[in-house]
Amino acid sequence: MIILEAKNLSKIYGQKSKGVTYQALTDLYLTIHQGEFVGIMGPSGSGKTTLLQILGTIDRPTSGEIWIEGQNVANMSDDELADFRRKRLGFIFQEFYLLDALTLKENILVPLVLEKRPIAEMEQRVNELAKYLGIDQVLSHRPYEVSGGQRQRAAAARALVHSPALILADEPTGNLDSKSAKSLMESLVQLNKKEQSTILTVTHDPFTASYCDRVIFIKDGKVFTEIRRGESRQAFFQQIMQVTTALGGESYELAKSRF
Amino acid sequence: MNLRSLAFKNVKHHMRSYLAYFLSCTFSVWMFYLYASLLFHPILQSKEIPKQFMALMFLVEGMVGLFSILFIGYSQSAFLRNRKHDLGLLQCLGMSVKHVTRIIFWENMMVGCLAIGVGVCLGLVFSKLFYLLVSVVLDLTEPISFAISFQALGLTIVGFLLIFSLLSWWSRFTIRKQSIADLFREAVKEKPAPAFSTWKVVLSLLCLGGAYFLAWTADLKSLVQQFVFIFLLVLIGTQLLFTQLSVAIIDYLQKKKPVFYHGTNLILLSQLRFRLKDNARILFMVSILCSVVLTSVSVCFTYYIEAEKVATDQTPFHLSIEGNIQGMSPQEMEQHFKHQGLQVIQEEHVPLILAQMQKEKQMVSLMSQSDYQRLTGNPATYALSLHLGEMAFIDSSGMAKDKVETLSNKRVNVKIGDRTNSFQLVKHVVHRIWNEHAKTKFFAVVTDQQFNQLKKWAPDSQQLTIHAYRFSDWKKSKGLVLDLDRLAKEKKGDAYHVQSTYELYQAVKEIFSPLMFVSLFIGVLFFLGAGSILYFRIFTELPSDVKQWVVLHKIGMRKKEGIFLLKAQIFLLFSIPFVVGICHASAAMHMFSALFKKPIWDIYGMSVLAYMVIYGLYYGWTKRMYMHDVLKYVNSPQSE
Repeated sequence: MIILEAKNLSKIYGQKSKGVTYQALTDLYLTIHQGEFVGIMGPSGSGKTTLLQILGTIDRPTSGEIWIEGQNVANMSDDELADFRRKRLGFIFQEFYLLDALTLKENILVPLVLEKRPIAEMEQRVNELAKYLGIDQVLSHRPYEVSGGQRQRAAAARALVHSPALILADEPTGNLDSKSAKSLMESLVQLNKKEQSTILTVTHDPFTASYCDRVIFIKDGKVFTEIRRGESRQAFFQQIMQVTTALGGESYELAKSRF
Repeated sequence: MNLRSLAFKNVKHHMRSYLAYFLSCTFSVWMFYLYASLLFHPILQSKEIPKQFMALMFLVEGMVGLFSILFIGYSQSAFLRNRKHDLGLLQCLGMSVKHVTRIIFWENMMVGCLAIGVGVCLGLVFSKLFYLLVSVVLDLTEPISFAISFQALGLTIVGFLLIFSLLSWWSRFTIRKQSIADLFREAVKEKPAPAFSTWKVVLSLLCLGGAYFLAWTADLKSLVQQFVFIFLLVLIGTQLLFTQLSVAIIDYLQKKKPVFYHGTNLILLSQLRFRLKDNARILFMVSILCSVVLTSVSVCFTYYIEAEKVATDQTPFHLSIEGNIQGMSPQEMEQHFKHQGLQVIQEEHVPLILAQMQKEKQMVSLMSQSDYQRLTGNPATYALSLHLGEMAFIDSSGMAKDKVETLSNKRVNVKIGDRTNSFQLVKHVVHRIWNEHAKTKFFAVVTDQQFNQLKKWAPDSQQLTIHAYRFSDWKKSKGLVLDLDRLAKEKKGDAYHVQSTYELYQAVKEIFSPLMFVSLFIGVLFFLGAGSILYFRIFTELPSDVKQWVVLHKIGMRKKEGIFLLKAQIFLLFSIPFVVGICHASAAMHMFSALFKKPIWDIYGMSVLAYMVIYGLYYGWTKRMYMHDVLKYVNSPQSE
């Protein structure tokens, strides 16, 4: 089943009348099936973040269509989009973006609470996810009392708690040390299998990308190429490295040492 | 670019948070100049302005000055705290402490000079109006003329320049004390979740409950004794209310899952828990200020407006003379009335006997029952039917609440001449029946028969007549009263022997008209100060509110919900201290209304309404500015 379909997507920043414009995306096509774990890579300024924001309905495309679960999100009003994000999308950010005033548990609950779901259901769902992500011991702590890895796990739990159709992650390992990054990605892969959730992550880190089923490379606002993972993650990592080098990005020699 | 232009850019960038501070400074300068110009006005030489009024003006000037120092000092240190990160960065880049303090100095001086300039201009423009107001309040025949006083101008400008420069010079000590690392850390330091202790919550409730109970049951006598105690209880209770009880209430709501886990409540309550505690000191100050201002303004206003009623309540007879003014018989007195154009509608000449109470070693005045009955008039509530050998004790001081008490088994021995009589004390009546003289405040009533008998035994020195009159229009009695006062002073050396409605009316007006005038201005000043501190506190939360908005927006919060979250917080921060202030002030007003025979809620309600409008405008303005800024940052591309 197709979860997300982007057709002919373009985004132009700035106003034509002022003469200063910048084309971030050009006629981009993208299809994602249910249960897929997809990575998006590309050099700085290639339009990764713009794409993620547009797919996440936080920004609107200049032209083109986005179909998520058969609904065209380009036609929705701001309130409808907010409702749609709340019900059908989950977000994981590089900076975690947990609310400092809330405990981890309350942070995870936010999407369900905004939805006004039954309390018993909320409790059950949080406990289940927290146990799975290994943060059940720190649920009553506040974000600044726990480690970065635990924070990002809580953020992941928040993204998953309402069983969204699509989870969008923006550099989820960007602020984590390599050990936390590895265990977070492993958890995400497991959740992806267990809950049959669809995850789309933007990253510039080949190591993080190597956990995906499929990596799409974009350059200058267009899809450059895409590669699929075979049996071995090690081999996939090498493949990703080759493409990034070909793309003219920085060399990722150092990343090898992680294996 | 030099330091001054950097400072200028800083001011421009932080304009929003400086704005409320600037307005309050301007208002302080404005008020200070108005009062200063009055203090240096040539009319002071004239005798028309009462001495007490000038003393009050000095007091106000001092208070405005003191308020300015405290307010500016507080605001500057708050700005500094808010910008530690900035300043740390500048130092990190190699700026010396001297340079940083110089930047701060320039920033403060820019805002300060502008405030002085605008404040003085406003002062000049409005001084004519101010003088007119003073003339009306003081009942001056000729309004005070407009004059620009260079002394007042100099005092205001130099004084405030000194305040601004000294206080900003002071900031160097705060900055020097801290290392760069500290300055950096200050911004990221996280606070633990506010907690409360149960016994402090209980203590808070006890203090407030106790204070309210005492205030509610107080009469004038207990009020004077307990005032300080009640005030202390309220202070402690309010302080704990904001630091403990607020957290306890939110904690309770957070434990109630159906409430807490319901839409935006989750975020609102969690944030309030931090913000109420963070701002506890400010909220405490604002609510105390609120209650003090509301109470004093309404009390002064009430007395001013109801001076007539107070005067007629406290002096039922328009003129009352204890004993005889030498050389003036009742007939001559009547001549005097006619001469002054006064028409007597009631006159009473009540004989009293002074008796020595044996146990209490006190003098008591005795009155006959029929005289008493005539003085109290019709109401049966205070009527007495004494038998031989019985006595009733009357408290006519007006200090306590009216009541009639039946007593038993109390004997009183009084000595008249060299005979001692024993009476059974049967009743105790508290009721104002006539004007207050030394010998009429408290007295005893006995049967007519016994009174006449005692009168025969009493030597002349122990007998006394009170002459009391009611006129058709007591306001015309000014001349008469002044004459009699003069006479009484000449002959007996004590003006207490003449008690008139007019004098009391005049005294009440003289005390309360300037007080009203002053409390009104000080009240507005305090309110604006309180509002601008709240305004600033709210603006310090801007970055974290923007961050929160961005996160919640991405998660799928509707714009409407986001606006509600911010508005609710601003509303609560503004309204909680005001509501607490109103509650305190209401209790205080109830206490003070013991002075009047009726509650004085109408004037209180009006002043609450007036301040609510001022405060509400401030709230609306803050909300608008804040929402505008949050939405501006949220919609700017950098926040994505």
